[in-house]
Amino acid sequence: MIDFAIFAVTMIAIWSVLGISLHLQFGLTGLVNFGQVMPFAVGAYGAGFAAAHGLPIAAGIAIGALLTPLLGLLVIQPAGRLAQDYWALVTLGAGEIFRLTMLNVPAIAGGVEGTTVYRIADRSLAMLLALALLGAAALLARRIGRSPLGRILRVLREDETLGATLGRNPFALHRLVTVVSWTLAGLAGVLYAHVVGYLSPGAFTVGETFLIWTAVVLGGPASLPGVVLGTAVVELTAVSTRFVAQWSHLPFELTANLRLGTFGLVLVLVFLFRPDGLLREAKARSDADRR
Amino acid sequence: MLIAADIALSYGELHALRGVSIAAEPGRILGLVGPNGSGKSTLLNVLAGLQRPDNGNVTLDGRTIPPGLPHVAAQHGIGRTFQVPRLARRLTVLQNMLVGAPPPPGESLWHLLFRPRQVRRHERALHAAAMAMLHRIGLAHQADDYADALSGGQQKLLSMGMLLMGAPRALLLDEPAAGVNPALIARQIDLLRAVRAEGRIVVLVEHNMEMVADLCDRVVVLDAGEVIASGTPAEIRADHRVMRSYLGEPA
Amino acid sequence: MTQILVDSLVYAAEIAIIAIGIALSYSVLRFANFAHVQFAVVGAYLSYTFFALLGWPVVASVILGAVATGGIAVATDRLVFARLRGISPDGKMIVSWGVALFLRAAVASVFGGGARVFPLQPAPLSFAGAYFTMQDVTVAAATLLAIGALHLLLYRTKAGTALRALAGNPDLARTRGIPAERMIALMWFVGGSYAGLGGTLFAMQTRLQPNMDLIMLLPVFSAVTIGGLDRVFGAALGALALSLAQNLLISVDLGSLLTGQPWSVPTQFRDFIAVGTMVLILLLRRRGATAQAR
Repeated sequence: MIDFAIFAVTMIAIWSVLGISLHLQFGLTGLVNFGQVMPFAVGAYGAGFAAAHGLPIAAGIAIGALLTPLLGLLVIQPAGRLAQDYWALVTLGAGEIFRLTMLNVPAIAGGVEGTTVYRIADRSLAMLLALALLGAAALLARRIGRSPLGRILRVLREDETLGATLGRNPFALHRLVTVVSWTLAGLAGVLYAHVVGYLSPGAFTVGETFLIWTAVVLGGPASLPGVVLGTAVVELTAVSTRFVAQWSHLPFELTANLRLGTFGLVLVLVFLFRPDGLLREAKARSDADRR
Repeated sequence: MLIAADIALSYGELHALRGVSIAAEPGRILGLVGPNGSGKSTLLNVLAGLQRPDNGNVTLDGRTIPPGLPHVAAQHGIGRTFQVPRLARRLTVLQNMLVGAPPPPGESLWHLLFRPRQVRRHERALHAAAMAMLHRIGLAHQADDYADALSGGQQKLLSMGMLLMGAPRALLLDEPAAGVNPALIARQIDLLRAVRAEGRIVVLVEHNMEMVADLCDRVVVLDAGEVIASGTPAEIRADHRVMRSYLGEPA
Repeated sequence: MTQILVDSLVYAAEIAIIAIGIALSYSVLRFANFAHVQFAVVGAYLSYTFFALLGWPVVASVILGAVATGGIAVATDRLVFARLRGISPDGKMIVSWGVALFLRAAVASVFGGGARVFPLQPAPLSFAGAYFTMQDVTVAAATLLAIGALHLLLYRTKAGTALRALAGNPDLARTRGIPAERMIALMWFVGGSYAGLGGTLFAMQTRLQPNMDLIMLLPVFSAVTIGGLDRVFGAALGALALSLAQNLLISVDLGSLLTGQPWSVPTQFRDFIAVGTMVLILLLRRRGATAQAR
């Protein structure tokens, strides 16, 4: 039971970093990234590439941390000044392309067979690392969210043209947000690889992207605590499916499908009945502590 | 001086602007009038870089403004309000005022992380300036309300206040008085007089002829994408072609 | 060469009929409906149920499957999207993923995750050196018929005129007394049943799986993007262009041309071409586009 708790906390922490990454992109800035699993996968495959080629762990971290923002810039280049529909399509396509590349080019990290990565044997250490990463990501997101930068990002979310007529280049700000949020997701991916110890393309599908979306929409995209809360709920449901299957004597596959259906239903119901999510964006008050 | 020279813009067969030239002088308010669809808002869009003209160019104090780049036009000192006010509606009135100012250091990630004291200092000054401006436009008591909660007229005042926070060289105002109650219009008129006294350039698109006659130093009349008359408000009133174009009779 | 053309035509037919539904709903409701591809999966399973499990004649099963999917699409709109007409396009896109996940889970719960095959043995045919089956001919003919019928509906009927007016200028259409909600329901029905038909044809040609939406997703959306998101018949042309690009690139021996070693793009890279074409089109289109003030 203790082992399960440690594992659950580790996973919630890692996925919360992904949620925070989406909070910065969507909750603050209004960018609809339907390929959110991609930076996560790029980070994980940085570690996977290093492991498959006998490079040290540090090299994997470096590859993951550097390649993710670079690929992010590459992906938003075509989507840059287009309507959100196209942005969603391009990020979705990019995420799938990355997964298909990992699947079909075994030279990178084992193709469909996947690859084993050094696994952090001490599970408590893994959990502490995940919590540390979550803490750093949350502090950074909080710093941005409460700053003039966060303010102008929210203006872009509300009305991009307004931002431009106020003398800000929306595209430059989008690039900045992409670099920051993708780097966070990439680091989460590196850590995920070393926690799980094994990577295969099947772990980075569109389904994972929508797991994060469900979590963020449920918790409240524009609220940092909301995002972590949503991720905790969704990820706890995800990791406990096996126990639910055992306990209810339903087949595992059916339980997994019911879970997927529930997530879909949650996305729809939140939009119908609580469009801001469980926790709303905090109002910035003029008399509030302005640190 | 803000000059638009020989601006042409068409959507396929439809000519929104054809060969329009205007010149707005500092310390003067230039009125831009004409029936709906005559190209007034399109002209403001071109001046503010929101639409790229097929022909012609825009200069401000002798510098050419690159076409079709709204943020660059704004950085050159051209600011615009809209007929339907553009605001960050889920942000407070004060926050909207704050983003009206030129980008503070706190919008750079580098400064946020490594120059926090400079950011804080600048923010404090910015808050004071924004509150002062809110007092001036009479919205200080609503500083912490969401912009969405303001009345239509107050929203127009707020977007004028945001514009003033940026201290632009040229202000382009798109129907600030439409749908606004007389008390708020009077406040707008006071503000615009003050802006003129500071020696700035103002281009005012307005249907409220009283406000135009009251404020404008010169008036340009647009009809079907062309300048059909220009002069002082009194001269324009005496011009029969203009009256006909407004009344919709064939000129 | 004839073989490539035939293959491209058949594949384009499967994609096109799904793609035009997405363009149709985009043109009226202004959001990219990701649940649409899942409608195709639902339709395929319904046809399969009628045909393989209940033993009904194939044509009747396919038509009933399509009509039932149209009904499901209308119900989805009533239950979900009709209540969210006022929210942003981003919000609708996200909701449409929620609907898609729910539908996929429902299908997988009922039918299981394993692959199934339509029990059909189409007669092999050949023409001008190209090999294909009677089924290929049926697929292409059905798609052409469906596109023709949609054209008639949109341009020769009162409802079609109303629908086009609604797509062109919704506010004006409403003030002119066009019953917007009824037209929108019609649009969902047509789009849904076309998706159902397309999904059935796609599944007949390959196989049936709850997650086949992921196989169709990229080519379908790429086709719609190439055609222009709101152009109904552009989507069909987009499907053709994409299909030709995919089959040509895969069949051409690029290696011999460039290095002397025979090598061509492996078939697994079909989706790369789909996304690549989409991005290329977007880049080209961006040049002309400037910020438009509303």
